Amino acid sequence: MSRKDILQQLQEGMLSCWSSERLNKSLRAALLAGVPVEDVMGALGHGVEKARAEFKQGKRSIPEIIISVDLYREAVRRVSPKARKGRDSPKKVGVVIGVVEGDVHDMGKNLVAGVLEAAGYALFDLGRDVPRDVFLESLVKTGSPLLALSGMMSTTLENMRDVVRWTRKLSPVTGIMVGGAALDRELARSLGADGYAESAAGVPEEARRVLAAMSRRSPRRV
Amino acid sequence: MMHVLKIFDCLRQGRLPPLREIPPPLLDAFASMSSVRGKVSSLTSLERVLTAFRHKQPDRVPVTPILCSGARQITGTSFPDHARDPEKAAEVFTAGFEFVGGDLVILILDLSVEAADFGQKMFYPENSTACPDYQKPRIREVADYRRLRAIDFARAERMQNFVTLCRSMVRRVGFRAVVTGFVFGPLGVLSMMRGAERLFVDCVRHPVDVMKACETITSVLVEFVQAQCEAGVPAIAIDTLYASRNGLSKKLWEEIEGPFVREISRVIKRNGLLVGVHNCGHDLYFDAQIRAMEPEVISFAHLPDDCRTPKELKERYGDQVTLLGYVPTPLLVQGSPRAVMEECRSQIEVLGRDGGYILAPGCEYPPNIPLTNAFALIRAAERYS
Repeated sequence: MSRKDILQQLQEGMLSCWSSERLNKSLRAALLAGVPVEDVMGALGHGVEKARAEFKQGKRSIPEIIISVDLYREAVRRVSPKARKGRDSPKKVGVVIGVVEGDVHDMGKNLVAGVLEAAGYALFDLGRDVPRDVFLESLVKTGSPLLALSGMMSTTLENMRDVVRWTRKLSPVTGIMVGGAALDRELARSLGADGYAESAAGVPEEARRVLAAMSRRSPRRV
Repeated sequence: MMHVLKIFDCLRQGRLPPLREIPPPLLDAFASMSSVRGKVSSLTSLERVLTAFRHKQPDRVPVTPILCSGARQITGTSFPDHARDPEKAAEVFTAGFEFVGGDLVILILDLSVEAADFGQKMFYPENSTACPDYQKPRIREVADYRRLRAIDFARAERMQNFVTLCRSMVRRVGFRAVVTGFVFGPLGVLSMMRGAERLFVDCVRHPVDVMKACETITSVLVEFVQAQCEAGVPAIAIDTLYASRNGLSKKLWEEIEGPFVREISRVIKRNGLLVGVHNCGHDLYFDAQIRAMEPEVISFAHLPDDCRTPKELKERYGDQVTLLGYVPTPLLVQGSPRAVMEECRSQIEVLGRDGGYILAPGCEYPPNIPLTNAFALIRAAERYS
């Protein structure tokens, strides 16, 4: 099998709900064939991207995206330390992500984190039910230019507003994206966020838009 | 004869009889008469709702703010008390109905009622809705789906409390409005015990195990809806959130949850009650849910996957079900009353024609926001119909 075919197969595997065993077998085969780890991860990342694009078009369902993201993460864990080192490279743009305090629903956040990771971002995932100060500390510690907040319940929107307000105060150049079932673009704007995505499908484009706006140091609201 | 006795017995007890016990031609005649009378005088809430259900034009569009735990603000009741004490919950729902108004009282406590009784550890926060402790999921691994056992419904505290709430509200509201029960579908219950993310993956990788658990859960849910029927509510809503783009593909949903919600729906219908579906997911599958449950009403927050506009929705499904919705939650949270009323006006114009429509939020009225926009909904129904 040619190198191109191997990479094509890996990419397709992200769309085919492969089992862990099937993934590991293909990863081993690719590395034994001398395919660079970066190319392997690139192919897998493209697979997740393709799954995301097809979800956006209504051709795939959420379980399929979750499985793609799971497989991608498993591949990251299994490839060589060299690849892991590459993954943590400072060249990657950092994103601090978490579910706001009071909310324990993290499926949407996990999907967004997986999609962003596959799109090449360095994720700092704080989990769910995250207090405001933990978000702020993580932004300072990691120097991430992007904060992604998730909240599924209307009862925790005030906590989200609070995180946005304090982030704005302490780090005006940080781009803030929000998402979740209780939100829409209008409400995101009223909370003071720079970006909003209705689902994980639109997150990478929105992240790029927010970062571009922030890099011009003229924070544009959603 | 049996039916007539049953109907009179319900009326004597001061509650609405099971509508399926009444012959459809009689209901249609009643609705037609109400529709005519509605042109010259105000109808009662019951007349209005029944007329809309039979797809006739009432005096105005019926409305419900789906005011549940949000009405705690009126009584000063805490979230945990509302969730766990049926009499306090009844006081909250009654206060919401009497203070804000509406033609239907939709009873929802939270989405963890059934899961809690199956042994899921719960949080009962002071300032928010009860929810599962996902650090301690009842279903930890795939094998647990098959290990799940049916519970003794008589000892199912939260479900029994909900039935008590139904009974109490039927008595308190009487003929002033339609009171509806509620049940979370088996996949929803499982998601509370497994976490939605893992459940979705299991639906793809281990569908047979998931269905085994659905079967176990459904055996208890059937008892739950039977008890609600006996409590006197005239309609019960089945929540099938995952029959949408927020959940499974249409095909997978029909395979996994479809047969079980069909069974629940049949029990409700066998008791003469109306079946409602509540689904606040995006691009929900109206067609698949109608196939599975043959509901009379669908409560929705977003357009279905096969309709691009509300007009198309009305044309495609308006003669099959009564539509209940779909004022967006974010608008209720941050919109002005004027903006809410404007949204209501446009929905009434498109969906309210020829009955078959009830104005409502897409989901429960947000519990922690002021009640101003609940009043805006009621006012819009009165003004724009």
